[in-house]
Parts: sequence; C-alpha cells; structure tokens
Amino acid sequence: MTTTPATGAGPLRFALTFTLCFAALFGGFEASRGSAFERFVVEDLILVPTIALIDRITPEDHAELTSGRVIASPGANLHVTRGCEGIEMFLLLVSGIIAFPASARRRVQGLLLGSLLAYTLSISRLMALHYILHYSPAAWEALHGLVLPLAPIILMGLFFMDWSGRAVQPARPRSAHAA
Amino acid sequence: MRPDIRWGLAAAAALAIGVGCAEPYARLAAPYYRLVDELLATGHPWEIAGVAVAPGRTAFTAELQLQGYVRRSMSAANHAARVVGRVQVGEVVETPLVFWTLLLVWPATTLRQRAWRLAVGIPVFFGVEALTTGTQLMLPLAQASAILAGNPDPTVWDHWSRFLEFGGQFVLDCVAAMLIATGTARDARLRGVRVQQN
Repeated sequence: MTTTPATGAGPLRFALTFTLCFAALFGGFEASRGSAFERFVVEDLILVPTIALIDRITPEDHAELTSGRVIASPGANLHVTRGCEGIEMFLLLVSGIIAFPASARRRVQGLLLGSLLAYTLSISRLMALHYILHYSPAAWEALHGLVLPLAPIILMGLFFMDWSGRAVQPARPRSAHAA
Repeated sequence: MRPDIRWGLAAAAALAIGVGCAEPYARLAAPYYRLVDELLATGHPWEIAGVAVAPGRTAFTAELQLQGYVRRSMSAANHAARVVGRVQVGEVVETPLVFWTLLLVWPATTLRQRAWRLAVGIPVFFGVEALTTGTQLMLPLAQASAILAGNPDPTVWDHWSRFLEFGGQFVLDCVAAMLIATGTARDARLRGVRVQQN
C-alpha cells in the first residue's frame, strides 16, 4: 500500500494520459448517443436492473421506466439525464488503468473488479436518488447536487489507489556493468 | 493510520463540509465568477447582468444563476435574448472540495513544502474555477448566440459543458491538484517515483 495515490514513473505522463484517455472515451461515448449500443448500455444494463431492484425492495412504489428515461412512480419521477447514468465511473476507471504502468494481468484484474464496483455504485446511486425524491425530497439538494455524484467517484478513487498500490511492478535490478 | 482510511476519512469530512458550506461558498464566490464571465464575454455580443445565488426551479434547491443578455451581433444596439445560466450550489462547491482536499491531504515532508503547494495552488485553483463553474454559467449565452445565428448544432461550449458534467470537472480538479502536489514534492518517494536501492 502506498502512502500517496501512486502515479507511476511520471506524474505528468500519468496525468496527461489519464486526461487524454478520459476525453477520448467521453468523445466516443457521446458519439454513440442515440445508438443501439448506447441504449443497451444505459437502458438495458443500468436502468432496467435499477427499476427491477426498486420493485423488488419496495413493490408499492410501482416504479417503471417511461419514455425519456424517467424512472416513474406515483410519488416521484426521476429523469435520468446525460451524466446521471454513472457511465463516467467506468470511463474514469478505464482511463486510470490505461494511464498507470502495470502488468496486463493486473490491468485485467483492476478492470474486472473496478467495473463490478462501478456497476454496483451506478445502480445504487440511481436507487438512492429515487428513494430520496420519493421519501425525503428535502434532502434532494445536498444529496443530488454533491454527495451522490461525488461519493461514488471518491469510492472509485479509493479503489484505484488500492489497485495502483498493489499494481506497482517491482523495479528490475540494474546491472552493475550496464553501459 | 492506513493511507486508504486516511483518504477515506478526508473525503467523508470534505463531503460533510461541502453539504454545509455549498450555498455560502457559492455566495462568496459569485463576484469572482462574474469577473471571470465578464472576461469570457469579451469579444462576444454578450452582457453579464449579474451572478448570484437564487432559489432553483424545484423546491428545496438553490442555484448559482448568471443573468445575461445576448445581442445578434457586436454592433447591434438592442438585446435579442435574455438568458439565465444555472449551476446547482452542490456542483459549485465540487471544485474547491476535490482540489483542496487532495492538495492538503497529500503527504508532505516539510512545512515549507506545504506552504509552497499552497502558494502554487491558489492561482491554479482560480484558473480551474474559471474553467469549470465559470464556463458552465456561460453556456446559455453561447447557446442563445448559436440559435440567433441559425445554428442548431452543439457549440464548443456545449461539448465542454457535457465533458465537465460527465466527470471532466473531477478529472481537471484531480489532475491540477496532483500535478501541484507531485511537482512541489522534493522527496522522490512522495512523487510516486520508485527509487533504485543499490
């Protein structure tokens, strides 16, 4: 475990690669808006399971997905807009793992575990937003504006710190006779 | 204390501070955003009438609002549109929370190193604030200009705004703080650089 967020051999290189990767992934996902792929990711992979879980936990809510990506129920209509789906957590994870120097095995491990965490956090965040809007709208501002967007990303950041601390490859011993 | 616990506690404390201080911070920073936006409006047919915290469109919300006017061209005498730029106060406080938490909690070896970080961090922070909340408030002005010019396509301002909303703001905050923290670290270990032990 490192004492700081490990950034590999060059913080500047890590920062640049991370930012460029994130920008490229963001651009790619934005370009896919409205496509079957984007609908599959946002609706089938995220929104439908979220609503299934809400219906399982609180069937009396009668939550359903309506057009315009609204999680609708008699007590609350949650409009899931661009940036609220939680996709950014996957993009941050992928960018961080690409930018950080690690073995292929470690990268795959980080991507798998991180994706699982990001997926869980995405669904949990949407469920939390639904329940806040339904049962405690007074808390909406603080939670929707700051805590729920930022807390999952912070958790992803802590996961990344842990992964990067473990993923630092041992330096090869330098030969005394090297030219 | 384990580093992940220390960072986790720092993040939790920062979020708690953010919840309590979002609106006061937005009020305090409003004159700075106005200054930045007036600078950004230079060379555009835009006029900033004011930046202030106001009740949001829904109950229980507060927003930082920019009131502005758009003319059809620089030479036009009359306003063609009145616009309101809105950013929730929770989003306004994101940049100071992330930036300063990272910068202040990042380990330092000496007090001088911390002071140096603070000195470098203050101007960078103002720059990041301008790039994030400052530009977000300006979006409706750019959109109104595009509509008045008959251009329905998203502008560069739209793309930038979407980038920020999609996690780009967090990326900018983190990268800026990280570069300052590592750039001002004298100790190679704190830079995350592996030192060859012979």
